Amino acid sequence: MIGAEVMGVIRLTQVTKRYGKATALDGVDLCVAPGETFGLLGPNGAGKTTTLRLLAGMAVPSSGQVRVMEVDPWDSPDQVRSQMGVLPDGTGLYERLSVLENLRLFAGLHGVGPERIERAVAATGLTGLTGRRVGSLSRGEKQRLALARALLHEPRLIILDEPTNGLDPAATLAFHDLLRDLKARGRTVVIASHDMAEVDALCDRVAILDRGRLVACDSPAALKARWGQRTVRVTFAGSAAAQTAEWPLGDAAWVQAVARRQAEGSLLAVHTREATLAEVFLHTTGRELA
Amino acid sequence: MMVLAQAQMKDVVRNPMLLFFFACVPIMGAVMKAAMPASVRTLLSTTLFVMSAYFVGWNIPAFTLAEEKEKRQLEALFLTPVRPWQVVLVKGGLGIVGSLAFGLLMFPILGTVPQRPLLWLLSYTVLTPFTVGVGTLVGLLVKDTRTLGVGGTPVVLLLIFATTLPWALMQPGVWSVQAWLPTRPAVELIAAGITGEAVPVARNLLVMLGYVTLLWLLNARLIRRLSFVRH
Repeated sequence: MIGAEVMGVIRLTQVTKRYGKATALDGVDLCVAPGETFGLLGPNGAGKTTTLRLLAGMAVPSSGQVRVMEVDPWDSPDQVRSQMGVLPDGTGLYERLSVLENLRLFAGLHGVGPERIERAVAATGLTGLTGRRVGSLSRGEKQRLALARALLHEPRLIILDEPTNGLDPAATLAFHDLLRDLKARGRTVVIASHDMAEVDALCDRVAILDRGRLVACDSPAALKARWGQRTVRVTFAGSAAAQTAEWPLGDAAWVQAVARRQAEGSLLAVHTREATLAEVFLHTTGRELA
Repeated sequence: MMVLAQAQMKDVVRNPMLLFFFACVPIMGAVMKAAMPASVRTLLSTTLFVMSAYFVGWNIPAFTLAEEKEKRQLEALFLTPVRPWQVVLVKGGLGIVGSLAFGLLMFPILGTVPQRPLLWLLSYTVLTPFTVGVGTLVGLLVKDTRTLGVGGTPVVLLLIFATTLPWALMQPGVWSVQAWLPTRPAVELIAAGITGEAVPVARNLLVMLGYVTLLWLLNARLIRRLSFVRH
């Protein structure tokens, strides 16, 4: 981890961002290593989007230092953005233009050729949709197009703000496969999300933000081991309907309960339940993620 | 810049609301030609030229900037190497070219032959950067398309009726004050271009150019803020 911090693609050092009297980020330290898929987890207003805007050079920190690939994105936005693809919350696509026209526009602005368009279209499964007006696409298709746009200039760093917000389960799973594919190709990916299952499934490390403060940062497994709790759930036949009882895995009481229900003949099922990032969030912030 | 201009052009010509505004001008011209008495034709023709400069030149930058803020398309644009001034330049260019095209189209529709065509062209060419500049200023200032209207009335209509129609019906005192305000000097020049009458050309041009310069200096100060719109 020390090495990763030295070589970080992204480094935030004591970053504070204020909008008037409101503090959006408060003394945040963060480091993202090359090739890492990194999650920013938190409720609305936690500071996720502000962090992404600072990384993209679209906002300047009130204090502290932001470095993306060793460059200050505010001072040298072009240098950073040439290596960064961003999928903003709200796709920002031109709905009256076709898929291909949108991609041609952004490819032209990035100064890349048509072969990159073909590659991005193929990578995001948009083949067959290129002639369609964006306004007629489903939400999942628009998200894929926005990702294709972010990939046009083949950036090393990809930033995604709530990438599966509002997608149906099938589209969400398809999008997750795309992100895994990007990771497999060595890209560094930063995902801001309030979907804990998504962050848990995709990210190597997770930073939990709450009211602008960084409250925890580690791998999902380490966070769950530290703050979550594996439990055993025992289901048994009650007087009218099935009933359940739950104990921490380390509590010997569940063993006795299972033995007793087994002897009574009322034992129906025994399940173990993994700790979740929701529990981690609850422990670290004192409240549930809305 | 060319790729941006092409995309913006396609976006404009596929926008039904802008097309409606654009179509209003020739339709009004055709109605005017058929229904209006000859005594007021010069006044109404001049007003129509001003309206075409506003309806096309104002609407393109104002509406598209407001919409691109609302739909967060500007954010996506500014994540590429494109600069805010390039976006404004493209929109301004489309506004000016569109305004001139619609202005020229009005002659065959109205059946008018300008007595001093160069003066008409000069005055219209000065008015257009003003209307495009006002549209750009409004587009830079508003948050979204909903804030483009005042009490449900589009700002462009308020501007047209505040600056063009009333002056012609006012007493000479008001008229002479308006001679130093924007639009009216261009209106006087356009009318002179059609009728051939003598007007203070240099003064009117200088007044308009002064406003155009001020407006674009103000726009230049505001343009950089475009890329850091806070949502």
